[in-house]
Amino acid sequence: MKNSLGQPQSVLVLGGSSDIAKATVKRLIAQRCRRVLLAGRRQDELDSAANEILSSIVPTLNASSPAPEISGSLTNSIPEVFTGYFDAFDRKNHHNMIEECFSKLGQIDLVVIAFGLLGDENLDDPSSVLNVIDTNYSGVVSCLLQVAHQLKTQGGGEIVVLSSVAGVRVRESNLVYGSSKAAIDSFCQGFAEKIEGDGIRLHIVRPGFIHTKMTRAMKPSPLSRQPEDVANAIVQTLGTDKVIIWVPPAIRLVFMILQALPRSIFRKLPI
Amino acid sequence: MKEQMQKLSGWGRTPTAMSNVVTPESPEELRSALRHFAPGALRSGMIARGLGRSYGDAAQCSGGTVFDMSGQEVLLREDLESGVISVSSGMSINSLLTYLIPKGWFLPVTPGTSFVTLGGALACDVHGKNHHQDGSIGSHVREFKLLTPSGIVNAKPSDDTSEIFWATVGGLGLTGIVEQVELSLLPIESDQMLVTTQRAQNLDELIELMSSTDNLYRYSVAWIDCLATGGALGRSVLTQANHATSSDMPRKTTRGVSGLLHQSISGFRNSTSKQLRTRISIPVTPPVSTLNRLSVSAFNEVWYRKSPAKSCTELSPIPKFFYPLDAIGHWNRLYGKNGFIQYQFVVPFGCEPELRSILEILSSSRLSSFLAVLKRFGLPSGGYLSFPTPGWTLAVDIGLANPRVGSILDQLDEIVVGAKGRVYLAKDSRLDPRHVERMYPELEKWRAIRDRLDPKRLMASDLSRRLELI
Repeated sequence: MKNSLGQPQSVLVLGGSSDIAKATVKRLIAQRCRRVLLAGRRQDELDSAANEILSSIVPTLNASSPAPEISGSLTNSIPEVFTGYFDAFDRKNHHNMIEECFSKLGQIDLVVIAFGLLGDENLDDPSSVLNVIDTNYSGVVSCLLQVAHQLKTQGGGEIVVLSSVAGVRVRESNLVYGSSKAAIDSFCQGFAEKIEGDGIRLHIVRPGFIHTKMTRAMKPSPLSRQPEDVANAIVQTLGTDKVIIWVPPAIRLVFMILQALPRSIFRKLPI
Repeated sequence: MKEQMQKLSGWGRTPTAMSNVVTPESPEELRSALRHFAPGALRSGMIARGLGRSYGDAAQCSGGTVFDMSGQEVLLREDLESGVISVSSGMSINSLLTYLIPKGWFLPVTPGTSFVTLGGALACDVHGKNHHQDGSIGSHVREFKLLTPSGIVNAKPSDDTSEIFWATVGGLGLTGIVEQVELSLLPIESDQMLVTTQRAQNLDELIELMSSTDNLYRYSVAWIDCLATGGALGRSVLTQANHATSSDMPRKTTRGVSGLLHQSISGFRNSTSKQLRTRISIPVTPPVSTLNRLSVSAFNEVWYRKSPAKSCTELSPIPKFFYPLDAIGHWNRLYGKNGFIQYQFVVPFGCEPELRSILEILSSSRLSSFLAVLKRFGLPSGGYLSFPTPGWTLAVDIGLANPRVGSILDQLDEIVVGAKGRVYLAKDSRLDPRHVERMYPELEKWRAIRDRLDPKRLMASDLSRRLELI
């Protein structure tokens, strides 16, 4: 059960080995989070994510407690981090897979949808293009419908969806990824209104360039940030009515300007 | 019987979720509703709710069933010779006092608002300004009827049902649903209080004043300016009172009383029931809190200055003394849409240094708390999860605008636990569940008795899930 400060006690991550999701969960278990389920396709990646999260606990507790001799009272019970199977492509089984997550964890306060494909933007390979669309748009929509249904049954909850600034104004160089994020971003904006009456809050995160394993091969853009910055922004937003989270906040201004540029200028920009 | 999906929150108006709210209109409907909703509660829980004055999530059950008991106000039996009354649990203190005060009776314990039901008061084992003399409400309950998932019990404090009695008093509604309550009343000779008000310039002065004079008064409470720092830390206004006797009443107030019954009791005016009503109301929720550092420090300054510099004693009507905030409807909206937390803890006598540290943290972090309330607690009632234990108890309202609220309160919890103190669960909305066992050493015993009454664990609230009580 989440508390009055919006701090969740149990968290489900779809795409559990995502760097941003890991950083977010680390922040949450330093607060009140006691049970986490990391769901994804590759068990080895999930296991190492779970280990990484658990090994972060003790130093965090020591750093945040005012007096070391008292902090011992809080380390006597370690949060539980589970892993589970989830495949974004396998949409037919989303219902079962997500239902299983909810029965494994019981009440779930927060669901983070963190899976996504960057793709290679090779338009000569239609199947790889559609893979990106299938994962980033159809896959997320399908999950959202199932998750919202489960949350409604338990009286409410919170959802975080990772979108991207790439979807705000799609460029030639990232049109597949950018358009898939634009689509899911738009869907979520409408969906957030739809499920609000069921006690469910939906937050859309629009990060700029974040240093993660997904972007390792790319050249960082200006205003690039770390996964921890996204995690901080998410944690601060939980429990509030804010729907769109820009990371860093300043990138909102950049994209407002980019959006307003006429096409003749925008297409010439070296981005 | 009405049934409706509803967004519920506590009086702190902090974000919350949906419950299926069921409003039974008679005891028969309640019993059949219990049977009807029990199978569903296996998965999603059920809990009773009164007037929703618990600040946190004690009287809601996300995704489950909430029984709204507040509509059932029935006076079942009264014996006003010996001062014993039996009422349905949905009876509010407000309605009861409107009836009782003109007849020369008062409740032995009342919290700071009259808008609570007797059932809710019992489930939280509420205390009042007289705890140092009279204990909490559990000490004055003679008997109650409890509907549990495993049957109906009439529980008394000292026969073979006493374990059920003390698991339910302060048991946060988790042992079942109280249907009727029988309690002893306090005789009064007037509807006025004889109130002594004086300032204390700092915490040391206040502690000394309360420790040496509280025994002279039935009621005692200090309002502390939480924004005062340094040498003025803990500056406060102490009000101590007794019920005015008929000889305390000035002559003119006894005139003008109409009706045969009232003429025989000289100390009662007809205005009490009017004063018990809400007079103004906050109509809308402002988008941001109106209680910020500027407005609160200005208020605190004026409030401290206007109180008498020297001790002064005067008559005050019961509603004004006990329920000053009841006159303002929806005052909780002043904290804006983010809502607020009320943090109340008790530390044992002798832990004055810890009390000081906590006040220092509160004032230096400038959480812009309105006034804080300090009291001395007397003997505990015996409820396994009851809050009051002998010591100093401080209650503060804290708006949620400041992002550091969570970590500062976590820091205060550590001090409270370290001092062998505890936090008031009925007001809580953010405690770390790992602290509960240390704060409430009888938790295991309570769990065992509770499980006997509700083996399938149908009773549940958002609070019980959050604090992992069951």
